[in-house]
Amino acid sequence: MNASFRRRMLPYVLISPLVVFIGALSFVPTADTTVEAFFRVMPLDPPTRFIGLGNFRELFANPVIRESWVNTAVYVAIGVVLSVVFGTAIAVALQRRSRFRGVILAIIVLPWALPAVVEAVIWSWIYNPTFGVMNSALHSVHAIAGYHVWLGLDRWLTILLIEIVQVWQITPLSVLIILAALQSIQPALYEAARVDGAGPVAMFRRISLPLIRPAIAIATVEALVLSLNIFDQVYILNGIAPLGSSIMLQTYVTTFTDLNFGGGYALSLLVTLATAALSMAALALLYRRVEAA
Amino acid sequence: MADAGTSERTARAVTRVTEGPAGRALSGRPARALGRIAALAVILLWSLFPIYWALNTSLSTLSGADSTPVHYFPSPLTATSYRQALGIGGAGAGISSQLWRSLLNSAIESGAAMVLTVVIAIFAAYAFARLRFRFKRTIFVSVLATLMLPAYATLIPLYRIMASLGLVNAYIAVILVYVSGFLPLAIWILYNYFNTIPPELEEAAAVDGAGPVRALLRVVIPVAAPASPLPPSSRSCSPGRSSCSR
Repeated sequence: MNASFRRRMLPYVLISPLVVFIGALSFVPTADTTVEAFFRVMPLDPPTRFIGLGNFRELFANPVIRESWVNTAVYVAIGVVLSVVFGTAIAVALQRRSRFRGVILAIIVLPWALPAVVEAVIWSWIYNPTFGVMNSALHSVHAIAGYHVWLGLDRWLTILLIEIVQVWQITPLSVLIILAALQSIQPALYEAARVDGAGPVAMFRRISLPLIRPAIAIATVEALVLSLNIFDQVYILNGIAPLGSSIMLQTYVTTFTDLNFGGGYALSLLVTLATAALSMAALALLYRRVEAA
Repeated sequence: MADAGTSERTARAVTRVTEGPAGRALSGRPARALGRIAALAVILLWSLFPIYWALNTSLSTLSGADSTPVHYFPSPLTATSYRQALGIGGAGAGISSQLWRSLLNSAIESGAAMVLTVVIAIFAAYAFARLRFRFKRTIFVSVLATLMLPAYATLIPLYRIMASLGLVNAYIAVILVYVSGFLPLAIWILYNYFNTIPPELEEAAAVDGAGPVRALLRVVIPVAAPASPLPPSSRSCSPGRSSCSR
């Protein structure tokens, strides 16, 4: 083999491990999911055969799964709104440089650094109906007359409280994304506005907001993908109970509890499509390139 | 109507006050500083309270944690739970042996995945950043596009692939899945990092007779070393994948 041939082959040698990994462990499984969504796959009740849209029809006929789509929409709505609003507010509060900003940022990022499973366990103790601090604290300030069972009784309250756990986890990511954008804004813009007599609110609406819009779009998409795929928090705080269950939980139940792999594939495919479609819609709506910055 | 008139007048009065000398004093430095401190206190409380609560509970006795109303400080303060979890003094042997075993598993899995990810990503990112080859853009975009896949879309097939290879309940299955999840972000970070390194460094190496591989190993990697441990330690690449693939 001569040197020039070896040199020409070098890039392919360098990327081949990557291509093998991503191909075998991301593309092949995704293709597999897509194809087998149209098959009846039940490991305990063979044979596997093509059934067209049969899995999808079965899924939409199932009231628990229909409800889970609605629940998931609510998870997403709460998660996106709260994490983006809190994220923006916290980022703005940290915009001004100070000696403690590094330390404060490190503390704020902590919830994002913990595994979702650990966080759900922590919050399950906070929400505990008998020994939880939530009941105790609300009762001691007379906000509630008696102790409540917070999770598993009321559908929307259950969803809200579970999603708050996720908001607690993912807001730091929004803070980091939005703060990075805020810091790239030229201080001169604020100086000019101050000279013109603008207050803090006007400066936020007229200068900060338009310039951090792309960052808000990215934070929105991140929150959307994460809340659309919520699983750990629901599973730990509410088990596999239908009340408040998310679509990811139903994918898990369909696949590993009902052992209906075909149904699980079909649900996975639908969630993937929903994630892609909603992400692109959010980007198209919110993302705008910013020239002045 | 009367209400609207009143509220309008109130609003005007408020505007006058806030814009007047008194208002200026209110929105002046001390008031704003107080507001900022209060806001930061709320933010820190929100971030830290659940973590503090876990610490508080873990340092209490079982009956202390199970009391109504709750104790905001561990009472009585005890390290019993930690002694049991870590198996100090022979307490709670069952829990501790499981814990050490799990710690060992996690260390093996994440350690191997990190090394493998960094090695694969450095060579591939270098090729993307510096070398010319066919389908470069297509491959690069396809790899990054897998970041958008929900982890669960590939979960069932991955499980079946691993099961068919007899790899369920083995380190290697988890490691391989971790690596495939970590790679796209690692590639992205290292690709950008390589682009910040001036090509003159490698050109100088080439003048001294080093081929591209030698230049990469001896010049670029030492310069890029600070960025290389970053990708695997970041968790944002594939949320949930790790906890679900077990």
